[in-house]
Amino acid sequence: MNQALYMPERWDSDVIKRQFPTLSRQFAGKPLVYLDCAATSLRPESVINEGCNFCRLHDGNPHRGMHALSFEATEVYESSREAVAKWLDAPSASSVVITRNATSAINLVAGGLRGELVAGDNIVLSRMEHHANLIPWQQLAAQTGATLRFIELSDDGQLNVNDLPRLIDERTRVVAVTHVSNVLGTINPVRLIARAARRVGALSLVDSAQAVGHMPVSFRELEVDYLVFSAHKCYGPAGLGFLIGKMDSLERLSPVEYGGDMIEYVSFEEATWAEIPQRFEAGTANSQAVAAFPESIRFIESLGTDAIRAHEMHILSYALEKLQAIDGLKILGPTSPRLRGGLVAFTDQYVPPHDMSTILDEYGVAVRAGHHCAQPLHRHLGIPASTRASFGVYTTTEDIDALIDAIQQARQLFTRKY
Amino acid sequence: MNLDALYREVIMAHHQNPHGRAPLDEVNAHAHGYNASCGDEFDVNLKVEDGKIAGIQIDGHGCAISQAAGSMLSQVAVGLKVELLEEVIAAYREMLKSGEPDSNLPGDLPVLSGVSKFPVRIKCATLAMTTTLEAILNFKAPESK
Ligand SMILES: Cc1ncc(COP(=O)(O)O)c(C=O)c1O
Repeated sequence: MNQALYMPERWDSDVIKRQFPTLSRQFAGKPLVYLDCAATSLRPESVINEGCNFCRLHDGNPHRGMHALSFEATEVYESSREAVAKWLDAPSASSVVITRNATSAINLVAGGLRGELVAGDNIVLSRMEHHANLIPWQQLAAQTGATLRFIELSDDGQLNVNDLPRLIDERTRVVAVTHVSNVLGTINPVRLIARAARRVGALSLVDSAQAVGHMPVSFRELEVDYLVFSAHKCYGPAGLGFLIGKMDSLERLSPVEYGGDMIEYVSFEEATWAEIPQRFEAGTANSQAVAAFPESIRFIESLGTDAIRAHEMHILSYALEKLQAIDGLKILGPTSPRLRGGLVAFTDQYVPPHDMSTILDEYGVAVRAGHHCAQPLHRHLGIPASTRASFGVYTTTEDIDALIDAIQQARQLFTRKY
Repeated sequence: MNLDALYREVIMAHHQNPHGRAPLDEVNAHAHGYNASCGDEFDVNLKVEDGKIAGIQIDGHGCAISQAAGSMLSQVAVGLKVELLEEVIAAYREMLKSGEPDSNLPGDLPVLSGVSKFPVRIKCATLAMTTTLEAILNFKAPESK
């Protein structure tokens, strides 16, 4: 990482905060302290405006009509695809499939492989997967008779990569792991895992929902077959996600949704499929979101992904240090900021997660409590739930101080004897 | 601050020292309740005799609100006719909707009316109750073994 790019004195949090209209809202008589970036990252004004502009001026149906508006919409749509391809180092614009979110992108891959797996095959996942990267594979396994295998966790929440040679064998057809865990924060060695998969001829997928927009991400460098992410977690609009794939890996997927736009020749009895990526884009897309997303990329690149990563590490280090100093509070995942993305989940000996989030909310601090769509992981760790604070470009050390103060308030309420 | 209405002393006392945890000598209905959004969990065991609740065990883990509600319910259930317990639970749920403390509710239950100001916490405050209703249903129509 290019540390030199990051100069704290040039990172102007006020300027950044001002670009997010939501952050101008007041809660508990104070500006919102938003520490739920991992759930959704909020959107800067420029992204919101770009979506509105599309609605106002170019609002045709892409790929459908033979008139100027539809041409324009198609152009906007395809240039967004190109922008994503360029940004994340995809092989070509055609290897970028536009989806509803990361979840639908994973379903597209898992469902699309239904013809490729047979009984006795196996699918390798990890213990830290979000439900989005677990349940589609459970379904694929149930439909094909394949079995699921899981890469185990070390005590500090890293993947036991020493187990890979044992887990990934000649019957492994897919290896799917998260890039950054949305609970443990762990940054996984994706390329190493992708290589282990490729060695036995298995496909690999990385769920980059918590990585894109938070650190430099290059599809080519990760060496995976498929990469998925959601726009709303990287300063883009909701209802939009992407699947990036190597061309020949995308060719192996059967479509899971059928209808308009994804076909070539249709008779009453049958149809042939359009080329990739249209083959996987049945129905009218959320074109306003697609149109807005290049603005999110511009926003992120105006700061730089190296600088964003450095900023989040700075905030994370500060938060970890403050949280670790609270006796009875347990941080999930690796303790070194170098090994984690910009989020931290914890449990507290005194204050249950749901109460913690309610109390924090009353102090104007937005965090998330629960299992964060990772029930099996929480059960595996022997805890029903956790509280999670997650960071973005607008997070400041003052936000962390507000978090710590509010935690102390919750502590006072719960440690008193009644 | 709304928090004072939620985390009343009575509620915190129940959370810190919950009632109704002790196992029963005899159980004739059981139900398991789980709140998928936050991980709160309850096991409710009932001993029903002559149409009355002769014993109840409400055991679980989760947030202070869910645990206090379970504890309060266990305190008032014993001795009630099954139908009356169902009515108490219905009135309790009504109170959480309206936000008006219902002084007709037995025991400490009226204290939980403050939860109505926190819509996302209503599920917490009712998990013990819905699990108990399920146990009653299982008593009336025993779970097929
Ligand atoms: C690691 C991870 N994968 C997948 C998802 C699913 O994202 P979406 O709900 O946008 O499809 C999330 C979001 O919570 C996530 O954190």
